[in-house]
Amino acid sequence: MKKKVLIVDDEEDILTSVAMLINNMGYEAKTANNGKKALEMLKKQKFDLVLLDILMPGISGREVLENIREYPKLKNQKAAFLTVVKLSEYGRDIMKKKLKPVDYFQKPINVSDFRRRIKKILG
Amino acid sequence: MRKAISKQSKNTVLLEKEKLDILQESKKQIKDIVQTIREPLMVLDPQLRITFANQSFYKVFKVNKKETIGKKIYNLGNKQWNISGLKGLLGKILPANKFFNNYEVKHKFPAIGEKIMLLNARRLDGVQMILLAIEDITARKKTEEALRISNEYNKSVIETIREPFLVVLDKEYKVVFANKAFYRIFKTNPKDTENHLIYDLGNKQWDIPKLHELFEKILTKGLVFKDFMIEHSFPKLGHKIMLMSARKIKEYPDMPNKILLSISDVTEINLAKRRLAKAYQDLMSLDNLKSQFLIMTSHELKTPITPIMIQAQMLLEGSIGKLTSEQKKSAEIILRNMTRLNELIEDIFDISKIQSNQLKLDGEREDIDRCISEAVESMKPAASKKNIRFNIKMPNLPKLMFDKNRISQVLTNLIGNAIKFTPKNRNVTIETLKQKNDILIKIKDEGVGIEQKYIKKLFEPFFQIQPSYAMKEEGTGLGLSISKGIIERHGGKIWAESKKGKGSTFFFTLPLKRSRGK
Repeated sequence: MKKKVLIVDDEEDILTSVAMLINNMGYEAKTANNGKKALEMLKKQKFDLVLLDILMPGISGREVLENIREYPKLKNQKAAFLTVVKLSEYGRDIMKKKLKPVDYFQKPINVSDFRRRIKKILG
Repeated sequence: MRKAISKQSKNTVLLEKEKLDILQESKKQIKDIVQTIREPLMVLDPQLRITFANQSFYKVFKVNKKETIGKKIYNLGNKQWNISGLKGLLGKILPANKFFNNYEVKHKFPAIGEKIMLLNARRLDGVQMILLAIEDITARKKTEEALRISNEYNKSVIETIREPFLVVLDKEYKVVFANKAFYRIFKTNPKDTENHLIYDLGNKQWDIPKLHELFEKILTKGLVFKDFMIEHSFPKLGHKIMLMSARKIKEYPDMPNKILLSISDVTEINLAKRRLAKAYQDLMSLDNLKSQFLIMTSHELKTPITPIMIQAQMLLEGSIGKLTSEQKKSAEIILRNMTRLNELIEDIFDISKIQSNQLKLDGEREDIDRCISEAVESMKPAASKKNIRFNIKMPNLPKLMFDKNRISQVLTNLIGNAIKFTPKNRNVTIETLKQKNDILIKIKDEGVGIEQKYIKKLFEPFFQIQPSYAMKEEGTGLGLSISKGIIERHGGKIWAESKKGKGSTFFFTLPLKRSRGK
């Protein structure tokens, strides 16, 4: 069984490109172009990892992760951010507390570095 | 009868004699009194002949007794005393009145020059004498005249001064005098001003509470006030900002105090200052807006760059399909230029953050040696292209608090520059030094060096010694100013030293203890 990754981003081309990368690595990529849709999908099916953009219209990536952590079934859902915002700008506290993301990717990504870290997360 | 008559006449004679004696005695007494008086004084008989004059008279008018006694006053000193004013007084006023007081007579005596005299006379009918006192007020008059001229002089000085506007007030705050500038600026005239209470001027336009306060201050406490700013909206003149100074003055020693009020109209200059301050604020907020705009824009620009770079990298890897060498070259060009574009955006983002004082640091206690080693490692490919060797001297350093990504960025920038300016087959030296309060990091190249006049400008945004050079190589000319921003945000310093032909050394420090919140 292929491991499944949900990619959440409001930019279609980013969704497509990251999905290509994930699929190319031998995983199964699914996409959601907003936070609301992502939450619905996460509640319906199991994902091994969710990649969240932060700045999105409607529900932000951070809010999606907050929702995930409040939902008992998804308490241990692996999640990582994939955003243009520098971690130092956003504040390191997003990596701590209850949110517990497993990684923080900054756009634009270096493909080989991205692959290495994704593999580390998914095993 | 005869006897009786004779007796009576004898009595009368006796009486007459007694009377005469008394008269003589009185005259003598008068003469004695006259003699002791310090002012020139003379005694005339009814025919205006001088019967007596005191010492002071002889002294002041430089005449002697012989030339004087028995002479008619007008004939004195070769008719020098033939003064028309005196004739009028003695010939008309005195016969009609018992006395005259303080008549001023000015006369030029051939021998003693011009004299101003104050004449006082008494007709003493009992002793048939006229007392004439001649006070020489020439000197006093001269002093008064000098004072008047000096006063006039002061007034004309005040008058001609364009600014400040001067107003002299009496102790009741009534205007004694104001200069032309005052009348011009406040659109008024002497008639409507002089003798008017200052508060009442221009239909009480000047009834300024603060002015009351100031006057009360100086008058009650005897203080001087200087450059006191009063802002007042005059119904007719409009809004004025004035600098007022006041002090008590005296025109003559025994005169009551007056107040000299000086008013400078600083309306224009103050409005200009305010406009300047406003413009500065606007500029600052505009600058901030510009920074915000650039920060936002750089976020926005990175969004389209992200999929382009993913696609180019995947193409190059061959994970989408095997590429011909031409296709590979094409993908390489796309990727290389997108990488460069991304770096430019990063730089603009960073400088905007620095300039708007929004640069955030993400600090942890880190190993600076390792950070340097990693930076050197990452720069090795660039160095080896020019066969440049790294010469590294690092003692064991304590861990410090710093933002590893940001300091790596500074190191990469400085080492990158060092490689860029060092000729082939030479060295780039990196040294660290633990100092009392900080760690000093030196990066030395063996390049051509930098002229002294450029040394300080190096850290200004967009500064390039050779602008065209930057176009060929990568870089925005922002690297050093970003580095400066990062180091200063850490509480450190950054500078360069160079001698032309002997290479340059860039230094920066990182404090051993970084204050919190930075």
